[in-house]
Amino acid sequence: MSLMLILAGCEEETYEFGEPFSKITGITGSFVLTKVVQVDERTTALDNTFDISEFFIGSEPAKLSFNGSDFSYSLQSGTAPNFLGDTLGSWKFDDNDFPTEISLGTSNPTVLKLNRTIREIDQTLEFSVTRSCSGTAGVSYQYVFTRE
Amino acid sequence: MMTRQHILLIACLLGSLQGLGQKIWTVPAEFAANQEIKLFINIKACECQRLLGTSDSVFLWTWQPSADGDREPQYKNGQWTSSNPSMAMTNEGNDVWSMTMIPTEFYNVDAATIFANDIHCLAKLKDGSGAGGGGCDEDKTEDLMLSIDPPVVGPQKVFSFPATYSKDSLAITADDVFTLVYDNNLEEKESMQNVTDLFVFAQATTMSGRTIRVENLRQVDENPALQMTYKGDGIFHWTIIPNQLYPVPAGDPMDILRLRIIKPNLVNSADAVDGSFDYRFNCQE
Repeated sequence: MSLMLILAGCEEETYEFGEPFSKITGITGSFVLTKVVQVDERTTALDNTFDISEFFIGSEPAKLSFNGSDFSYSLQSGTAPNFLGDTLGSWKFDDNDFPTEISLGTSNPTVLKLNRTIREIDQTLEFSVTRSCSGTAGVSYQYVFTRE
Repeated sequence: MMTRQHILLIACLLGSLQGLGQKIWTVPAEFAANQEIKLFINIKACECQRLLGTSDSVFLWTWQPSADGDREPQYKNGQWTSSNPSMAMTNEGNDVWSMTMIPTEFYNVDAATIFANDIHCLAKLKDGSGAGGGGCDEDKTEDLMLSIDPPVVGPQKVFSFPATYSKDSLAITADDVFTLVYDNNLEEKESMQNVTDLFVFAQATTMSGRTIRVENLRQVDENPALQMTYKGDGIFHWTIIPNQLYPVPAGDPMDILRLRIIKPNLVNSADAVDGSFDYRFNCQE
């Protein structure tokens, strides 16, 4: 009897986790550009970042919308320079469950490297675009878009 | 009486002793993280001595500033019982082994990561097991750490972001964002001290040598696009996308941007920061 009690006391508790947040649902919607930081990929200086939000966003911030049903997107550059490629097209994650990248466009896609996850509860979509110089990274742009 | 020869002899001896005591070092001693260096490990100076006098190959094993999984195949450690052949070190003689590398390329990280984490490594035989049990009973040195500090750069009066990586060359195209920064606190020219309003007189030169100006020198202050933004504390910024500001003809891309910082209502050289500042767009899309 006492042995049974001991064994019962040692029984493992089990927990059930819910379904993981869908990142496709998370990215569905419209986002407006709120911050841009330029990263110098070649410098040896400790601080290799520079906030260019004021210049980059301008008077008409860029907007990015994703449709999670037909995987289409639209980009309105506004007054920002467009380093994101085509303004209309299709998009995809590199991994729908654990995405690290978003590809915009199909023939010559622009790759956005996710800087954090994007779930329905996340208010910002954060990614980097790297621009090469002579085959290696020259400069990157870290974008922060805020959910509308 | 101590002669000059005696002093030199003592200095040489002290230098040799310092060399003997050093476990790990680089040549050059100070370097940019994206510069080629030679890393040396002196087995004689290490506490673990199982590699002393070995005729076998010695391999570098490293885990910081980036782990094996984050490095390119040729820079991965391999297995502890079978090191990656490309990690073999060069025998420099006298139990000193070396590895030539460009730290940013080798570790696949940026310079800031290297300065923040330093280099952590050890030297080992291809199979590092030895007598087993860890510590100095294995065929390896103890863990070694090479402290790496960023190059000391004094404050600059005028500089760009991104920075020039070699003389006046930028690793961006003329379609990227470029910022000129001016620190008026470092201005030695009396007539330019404590200014509150500044403009940039700029001219672009294309690859074919054509010169393009947005405004003539006397009209610069009539164009808001050429006005620097005062950020407070004596700091001014001028941010542009060069190809948007300068109508560069198709097929003749921008080569150099030559900039001068001036006051509005310029009269003579007293109203300008001394010198002009050149930036070359070395990479084309």
